[in-house]
Amino acid sequence: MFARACATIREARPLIESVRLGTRAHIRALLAAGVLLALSVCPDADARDSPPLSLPVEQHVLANGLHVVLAPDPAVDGATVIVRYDVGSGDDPTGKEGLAHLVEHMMFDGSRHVPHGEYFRWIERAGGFGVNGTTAVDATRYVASVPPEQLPLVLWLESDRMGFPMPDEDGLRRAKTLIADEVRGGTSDRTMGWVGPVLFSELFPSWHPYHMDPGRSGLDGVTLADVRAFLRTWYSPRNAWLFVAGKIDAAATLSLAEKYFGDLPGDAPPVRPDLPKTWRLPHARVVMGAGVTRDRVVLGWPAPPLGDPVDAALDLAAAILSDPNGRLQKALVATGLAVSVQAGESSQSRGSEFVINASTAYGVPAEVVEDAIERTVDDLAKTITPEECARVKSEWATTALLRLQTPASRAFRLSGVDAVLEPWGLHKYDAIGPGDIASAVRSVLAPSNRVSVVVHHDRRYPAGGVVLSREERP
Amino acid sequence: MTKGLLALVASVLLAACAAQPPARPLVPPLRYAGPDAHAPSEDAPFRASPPALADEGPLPAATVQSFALPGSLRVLVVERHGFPAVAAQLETDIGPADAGDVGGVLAGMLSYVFLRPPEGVLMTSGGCGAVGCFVQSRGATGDLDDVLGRMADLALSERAPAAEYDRRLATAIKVHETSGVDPGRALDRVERALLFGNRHAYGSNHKAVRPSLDDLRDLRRRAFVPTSSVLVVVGDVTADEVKASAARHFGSWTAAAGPPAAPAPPPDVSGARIAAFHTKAISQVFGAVVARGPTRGDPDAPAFQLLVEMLGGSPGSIAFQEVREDMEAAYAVGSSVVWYPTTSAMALGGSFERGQAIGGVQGLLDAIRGVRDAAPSEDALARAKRTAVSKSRRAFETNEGLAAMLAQTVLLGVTPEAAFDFPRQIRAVTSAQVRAVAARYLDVGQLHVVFVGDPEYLVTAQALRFGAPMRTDGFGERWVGGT
Repeated sequence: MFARACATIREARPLIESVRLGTRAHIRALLAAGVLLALSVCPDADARDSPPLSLPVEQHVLANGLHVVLAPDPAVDGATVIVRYDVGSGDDPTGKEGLAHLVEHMMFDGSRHVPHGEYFRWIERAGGFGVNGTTAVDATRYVASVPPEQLPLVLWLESDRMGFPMPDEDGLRRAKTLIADEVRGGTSDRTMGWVGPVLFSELFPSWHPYHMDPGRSGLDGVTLADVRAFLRTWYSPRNAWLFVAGKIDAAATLSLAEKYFGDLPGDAPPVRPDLPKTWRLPHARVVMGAGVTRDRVVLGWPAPPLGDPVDAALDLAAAILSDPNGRLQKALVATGLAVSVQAGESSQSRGSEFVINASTAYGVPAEVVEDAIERTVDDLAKTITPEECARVKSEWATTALLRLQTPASRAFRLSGVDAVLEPWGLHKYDAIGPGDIASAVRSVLAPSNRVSVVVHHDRRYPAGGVVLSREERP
Repeated sequence: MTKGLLALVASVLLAACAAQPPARPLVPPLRYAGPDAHAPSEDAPFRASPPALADEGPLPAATVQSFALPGSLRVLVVERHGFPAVAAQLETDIGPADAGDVGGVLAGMLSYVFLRPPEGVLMTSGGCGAVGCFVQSRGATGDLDDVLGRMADLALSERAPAAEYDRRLATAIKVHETSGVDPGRALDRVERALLFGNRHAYGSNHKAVRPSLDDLRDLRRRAFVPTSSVLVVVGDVTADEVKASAARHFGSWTAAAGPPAAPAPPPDVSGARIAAFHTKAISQVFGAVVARGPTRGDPDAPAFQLLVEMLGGSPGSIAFQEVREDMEAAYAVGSSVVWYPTTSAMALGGSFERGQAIGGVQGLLDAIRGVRDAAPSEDALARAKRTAVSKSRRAFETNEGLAAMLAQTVLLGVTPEAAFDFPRQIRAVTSAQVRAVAARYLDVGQLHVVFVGDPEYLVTAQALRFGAPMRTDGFGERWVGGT
C-alpha cells in the first residue's frame, strides 16, 4: 500500500551519477550553474485524481562562494532558514576538543550590529521559533523558523554573525560554563551520552577525526585567539550554505541573500587531509560501572561513509532489526532478556557507525544479551526475506514523503550532507535488495569488527560511569 | 641496478611510514593570522539596524466539516489538498471510566497491551494518558481506507495472537513496577501527585497495580465508546470519501455502555507544597515550580498560555534569561501547560547544576513574582505573543498535527472552531490581563515545588520558605521506607 507514494525526480539523476563518479568538483559546477530540481509525487492509478506535488529546489552559488538553496512552496505557512558551515567537532584541533561546539554557542552572543542578548529578542519580535544551533562531526547548523514576511530579519541576523562575529572573554567564559552544564545534563544523565565517547574511542583510531578521548575536554585550554582563528579558518561564506524553505518567492529571496551576504569576503576553507579507508579494530570489550538504574549492552561496528551503497544497505538493516515488532524485539524483549533495544546506522562523511543498544532486564547477564544480539544479526544475513526488505523500503518512502510537509523539515532535509546525492531522499534505497543488505551485514557487522561496551548498574559508581576493565579479544 | 635498489628501499620506507598511523587526528590547522572574520572593508548602510518588521500575516484557517455515524461517533474532516497525504486521529475520553484510585496507570497498561499494532502494521500507533486514549495513522493520498482500517483494527479488535497479549501484560506490569527509579518519570509523577493528590485520576500514580487481561478488557469495553470519541481526518481527501470509509470501518461501532459521567474536578489539595524524590542516578538536579491553571475553555486560558510562554517558553523569556543567562544555573530551562478537561497544570523548571538547584528554583520563583508584581513590558508581551502564536501555528503545519490538535481540543470540551480562534485570542491579550492571571493562578500560596536529585544538594531547600520537602518515592507517594 505504501508503494502508492510513488515519486520521481526530474533532472536529479545527473547529480546522482556524478556523485557515483566521485567528482565533487563536478557537482559544485552543476550547483554553480543553478541547476533546477523538481520533485513530482504522483498518486497511483486507482487513487483519486490529484495534481502532482511539485517541490522545486533552486541551487545557486554567490560570487563569494556561498551556496544558496531555495525550496519555495506557496502552499505552506512559514519559512525556515538554516545556515550550515561545513565544519564540526571532527575538525577540533588536538587539545582543543569541544571548540566547534563552543563557537556555535558563542555565535548567539551577538555580533557587531546585534548587541548581546538581542539575537533571540529580535527573532521573537518577528514571531520566530525553533531557534537552535547544532554541532555534528562534519557540520554546524543554525536554524530559525519565522512567518515568511519576516525573512529579511533572519537573513540580516545570519549575515551579521557570519561577517561580523564579536567573540569576547565574557562570552567565552559563559559558553564554557553553559557547555559544561549541557554536557552534564544532556550527556552525563543519558547513558549513551557517556557510553558514546568510550565506544567512539574504540571504533575510530587515534588519528581519525571522529576519535574521542573519554572524559577529555579541551575546553579549559581554549582561548579567545582560538575562537577567532576557528572563525577565520572555517566560518567563511565559501564554506557555508544558506537553505531557505517555505512560503517564499525564490527570486526575491535570492536577491535578499545577495544583499545581505554578497559583500562578505569568502576565503577558501582548508582542505581536509585524505583518510585511510579502512583500519584494523582491536575488537575490544569494555566493562563500565555506573550509578544508573539498569545494565546496558552497547555494540558498535565501524561502517563505510555516507554515499557508499553499503552504508545505505545498513540503514535498512537497522530498520529491519529495530522494527517495533521486529527481530531484535522478538529476540530480546519478548524473551525477557531486555526491556528495550534499538539499532541504528549513523551515516557520516568520514566514516559511519552501526550501533545496537539494549537495556537488559534485571538479573540477565550482559553476556547473554550480547550473544542474543550476535545471533540475531547473524540470522539477519542468512534469512532476510524480500518481503521484509520491501516493507522497510515502502515504510521509508512513505515516512520520507510525510516528513516533507513543513518548511522546517524540508530545510533540514536539504541541509543534510547527503542531500547532494538526492535532494529529497525519496529514492535513497530504490536500488537496494535483500541480497545487498545480507552482504552488508556479513561484511560489516562481523563479530571480529565489533566493539562491546557493557555497563553494570552499581550505586557505588557515579551516574556518568567509570571504565572498570578493557580487554582485546583475539 | 643502484637506482632500482634505491627505489626499492624508498618504497619500503614509504610503506613503513604509511603503515605507521599518526598519533593525532588528521585535521587541518587553524589560521591564527589574517584579518578577523569575513567582514567587508566598509559596512553597507543596511547593516546598521535590522530591517523593519513586516505586519503580521493572516492566521491559518480551515473549514471543519462534521457529521456523525449511526453509532454516534462524531467525525470531523478538514480537506487540505496542498500535499498528497492524509492523517487521522481517534481520540477517546476515558478519564471518567478510569477515575478509580489507580488513575492513568491502568490506561497506560491498556495502551501497552491493546494499542500496539501487530507486526507488519505500519504508520499506526496508540496510547493513553490520565484523560484519554488515542489511535492515529497516516499515509499518502489514496491510503484513506487503509488508514481508517488500520485504526479500527487497533482500536476495536484484538488481531494479535492471544499469547501476545499475555506477554505484553506481563511486560507492562514489570516495566511499571520498575519505573519508579526513572528520574524523568519521577519528576512528572511527583508534580502531578503534588498538584492533584494521589486519589484523583490526574494525579494518581500507584505502584501496586497488577490487572488481569480481563480487567483491561473491561476498562476498554467501558471506556472505548463512540459517544465519548471523536474521529478527525485531515488531508488530501474529500468529506464524501471520509464518510464512506468511516462508515465502512466504524459504522458498526456502537456503545457497549452509556457515555461515562463527566469527570469531577480535582479536589483542593492541602498538605505539603514541596516534595523531593531522592536519587543519585542523575548528575544534575531537576527542579520545577508547578501550579494549577484554568481550563482550556475558560476566558483566562489565552492569557494563562501567554503568561507561561513569557516565563519560560523561549530563549528570550524571563526565566531563561535570568536563570540560564544571568545566573548560569542551568543549561535547560523551560515551561509548559498541560490541559485537562477540568483544569490545567503549569510547570516552570530546569535541569540545574547540583550546587545551584536551590538558587535556581528561587530564580524561577522570583520570575513568577516579577510578573505578579508588575505588568510585563510591551516589548516582552509582544515577543511572547508572536512566539506563542507561531507555536500554535506549527500545529497546523502537518496533517497529523492538526488532526491531533483538533481531537484533543474536542476532548477538552472546546469546539473545533475555538482551536482555530486560540491564536487570535492570544493576540488580543493585554499586559493587564497577564498580570491579573498571574495573580489569580500563581499566587505564592498556589505554587508547589518539586525536586528530583541527590539529597546532598537539597539540604537548604527550606530557604525557599515552602517548608521541609516531603520525601516521595518515584511514583509520587509519600516515602515510608527507611533512609
